[in-house]
Amino acid sequence: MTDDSRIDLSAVDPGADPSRLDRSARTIASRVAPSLRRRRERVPPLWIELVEWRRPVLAAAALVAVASIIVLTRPPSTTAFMASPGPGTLAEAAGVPPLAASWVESGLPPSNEALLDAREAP
Amino acid sequence: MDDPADPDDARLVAAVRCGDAAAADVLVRRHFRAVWAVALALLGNELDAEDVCQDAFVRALERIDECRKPDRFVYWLLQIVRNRAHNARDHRRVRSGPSVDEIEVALPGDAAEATERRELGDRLLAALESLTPEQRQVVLLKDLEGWDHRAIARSLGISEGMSRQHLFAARRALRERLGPTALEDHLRD
Repeated sequence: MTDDSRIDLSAVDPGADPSRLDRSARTIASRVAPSLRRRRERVPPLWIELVEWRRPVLAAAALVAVASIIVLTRPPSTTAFMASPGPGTLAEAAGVPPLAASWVESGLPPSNEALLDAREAP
Repeated sequence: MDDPADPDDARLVAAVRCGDAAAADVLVRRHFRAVWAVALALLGNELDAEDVCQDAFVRALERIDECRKPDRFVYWLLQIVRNRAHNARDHRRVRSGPSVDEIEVALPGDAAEATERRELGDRLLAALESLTPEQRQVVLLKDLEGWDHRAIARSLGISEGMSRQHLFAARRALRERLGPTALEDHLRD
């Protein structure tokens, strides 16, 4: 046996007697019980759930952020833009119905017949 | 257990902050021996070490919000143990030693084995008294709890080389005082 070899200290090991460890653990538990109870009453259940789920939620948020960055930083496809039929006028682009858009474009108030036609139109 | 810093401690600390008693119990059982080792190293007798152990755990669990690095909970806990042990010594609350009756309650096994174990324990405690507090902490954390030198050095705020020197000196001094026979006999048990 050299000075480098381990010394057996199990004679002073509290873990050698499981009942001793249990006694200490129970004593500690009873002493901290009021403090833990106060914490449970103070913390809403939703907060506990959020703490439990924070890692997967953060991971999912990171994935969404990366996907968003990729989509937003990608240059738009020119051919797809040209091929799509765009709105003809500014009023149509703003979502104004075509019949009303023609009144806007003309700058004149609609006639009574036009109003009736517009009402009967689907 | 080479490295006592367990990433799972962070989860347990978070649970204790929410009032989880089961998580607190796991932390106590996981780190009890390390806490005991440091308390015994600084106080020199088992009853005072046990008192300080319990006080330190209670203080740590009640002030768990102050643990800034939950994955390194054990290092923070051991600092509390050291502070409590120093306070205990300063206030002269340290008893001269455990009574026979008190020790018998804590000992396992049958009477003959318990007596033999108690005698060896007493001799070991007396031999530990001959070491410096740093040497006692190093040898107890290494040979009782199985920590590596990196963890011991981090816990004590010393270099790994110094930790190795303390261990070498402590083991040599213990063997000189106890004799190799007692330790070898006990190792065969």
